[in-house]
Amino acid sequence: MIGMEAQYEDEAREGPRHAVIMLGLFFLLLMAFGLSLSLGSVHIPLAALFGILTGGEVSSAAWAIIVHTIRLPKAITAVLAGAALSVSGLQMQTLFRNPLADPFVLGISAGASLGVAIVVLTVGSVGSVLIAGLGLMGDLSLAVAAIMGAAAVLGCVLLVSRSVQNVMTLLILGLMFGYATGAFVSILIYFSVPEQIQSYILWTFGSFGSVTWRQMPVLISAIFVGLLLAFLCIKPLNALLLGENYARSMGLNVKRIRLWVLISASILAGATTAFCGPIAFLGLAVPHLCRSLLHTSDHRVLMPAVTCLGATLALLSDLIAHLPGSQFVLPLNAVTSLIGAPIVIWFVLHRKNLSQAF
Amino acid sequence: MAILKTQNLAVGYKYGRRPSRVVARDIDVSLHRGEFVCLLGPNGAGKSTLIRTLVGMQPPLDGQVYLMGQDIADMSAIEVAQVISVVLTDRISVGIMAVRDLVGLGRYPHTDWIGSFTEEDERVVSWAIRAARAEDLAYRNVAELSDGERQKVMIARALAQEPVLMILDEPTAFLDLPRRAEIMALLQDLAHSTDKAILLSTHDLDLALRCADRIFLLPFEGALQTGAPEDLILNGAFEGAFQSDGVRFDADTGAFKLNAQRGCSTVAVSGEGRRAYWTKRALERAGFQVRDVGAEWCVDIREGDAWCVEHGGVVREYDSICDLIAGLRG
Repeated sequence: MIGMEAQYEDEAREGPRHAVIMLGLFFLLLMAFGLSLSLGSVHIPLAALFGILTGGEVSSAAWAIIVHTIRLPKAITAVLAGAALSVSGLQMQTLFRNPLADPFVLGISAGASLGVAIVVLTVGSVGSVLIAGLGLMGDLSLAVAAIMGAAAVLGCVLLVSRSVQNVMTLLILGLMFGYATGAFVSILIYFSVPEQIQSYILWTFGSFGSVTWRQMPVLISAIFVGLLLAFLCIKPLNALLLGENYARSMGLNVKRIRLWVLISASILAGATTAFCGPIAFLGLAVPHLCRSLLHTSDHRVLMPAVTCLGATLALLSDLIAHLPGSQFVLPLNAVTSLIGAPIVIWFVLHRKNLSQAF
Repeated sequence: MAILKTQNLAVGYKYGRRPSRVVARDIDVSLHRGEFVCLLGPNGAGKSTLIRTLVGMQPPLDGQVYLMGQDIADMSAIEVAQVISVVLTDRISVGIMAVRDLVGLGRYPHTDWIGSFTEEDERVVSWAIRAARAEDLAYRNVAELSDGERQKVMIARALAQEPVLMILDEPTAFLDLPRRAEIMALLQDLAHSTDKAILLSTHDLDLALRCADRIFLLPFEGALQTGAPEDLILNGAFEGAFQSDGVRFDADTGAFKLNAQRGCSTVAVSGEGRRAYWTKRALERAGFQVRDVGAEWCVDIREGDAWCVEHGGVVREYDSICDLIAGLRG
């Protein structure tokens, strides 16, 4: 009986344990944010950083410019993108009950790639009219193209999802959309000159550094709407853990919720891809890490945890990609996967609870 | 008033423009409070299809299902969920979740937007776990449960939904006999003590006959019949529904008998009690016709531990039923 009571007490502590981990994750996020402002090709001490951010005494005008025009927008973008991709990945993994699902399973990044490929790769051949137009649109053109590409694929998927009974059918259709779109990109690349191909490839590496203050409100509002929808879907996502039949028997309108989850995940992944390029791995790995760390599949706990950890890991990946103290910058996508894969492998092998998650 | 009532219900499947496949038709049944009803029928008769139609998971091909007097087709999912809860045959993989949290998911139709619990919700969940006799499982991980334990937990989840009607699709499949009896007794008790209606489909004829207040008998082809188990035995409905080459339903014992009348040797068994009963069973199994008088062989088990066999004036003794049958076969 004593053992039983001890076990009950043990379980009663689960709530506080989650709270402690959440607090830790939030603290980690703050640290990562500070570090990403402080470290880079030029090191800015934390004390000076505080002055710059609070509008107090500025010890170096150059530092203030670096922080304001480069590092702050980049850090904010990383936080938004990391949170967006991770939440979107969590939604997809639960909706499809599939551990391999990520934000891009429904072909959203493929659609964005097609949009960008069309702009970048056809500029030369279409001629000077379009180049002049591009100049007018300035740096927004890539984002606009990516958004339109992602929206086109997303529209197809949502249209199909209304008439699809089985969620697995939808998954397969999404993959097919992705392949078909990818094929168009291949054809475009095949008929392009090397310089254009290089600028396209550069986009596919991903970067948090290309969002300007002018574009920031667009990105912030898109991600805010996406996250709001995602948090509103927490309870239905928990019900969907039991499968669609049980969820329906508990009063869930499965088709409607599926649509909302898809819209939310697509806004999150689409906006991020449009502004930062197709950033791999975070959306797949962060939900797994959080499930394993917090030992739960409850979205009430997972959703905030995934938001925090996703933002933190995006900041850290960007930090590593910029190799602080050097002039070199590595491709962001190479860093997320290179650093992320060993971490996930370690988790899979050392914490045996990942296999129970699906 | 009936909790659930069907009218001219036809169930089956529609395939776009092709003609629909009707599995069962002209079903007129009703379920009342405090009733424990078993749906029986051979494989392919449409038990699962009927259950899926009754809970609103698939539309009827014809006729109506009325829930508390209201057509289920006009009700929203949440309205249905407040009356019916289900235990399905779906394999569940909920991920990393404690049993108590899984049972708590049953509160879904009663909680707010994020699913936070009031004291009432906590109380109902505790009650559901106790009622399903799953107290010792409450803080186990769902992924680590055995089939029988998981079935109890799913019943607790269905109870936590506080339905008026619980519908279970083959809840005793894959369980061993003691576990099946335990689940059936539990459900029968729940129906009577909580004044819910419980409908379950099963292949467990023997247990259903012993536990059910009423039986819905769905034959392979033909109309669904309802009644007390004993009525359906006496009017020959069971024999009709489960007719097949290999087995027949024996209305005297309420059990299936293998049609193993291969031999034509006749045996008479003299004696009473348990040994006599099992000796007769063994002889029938071995293909002998067991009679009371006028048989070629006479088995006497009245004395001692041995089986004495008399045949044409010669008496032999055997130590076990195994030897006895070997001896009779020569």
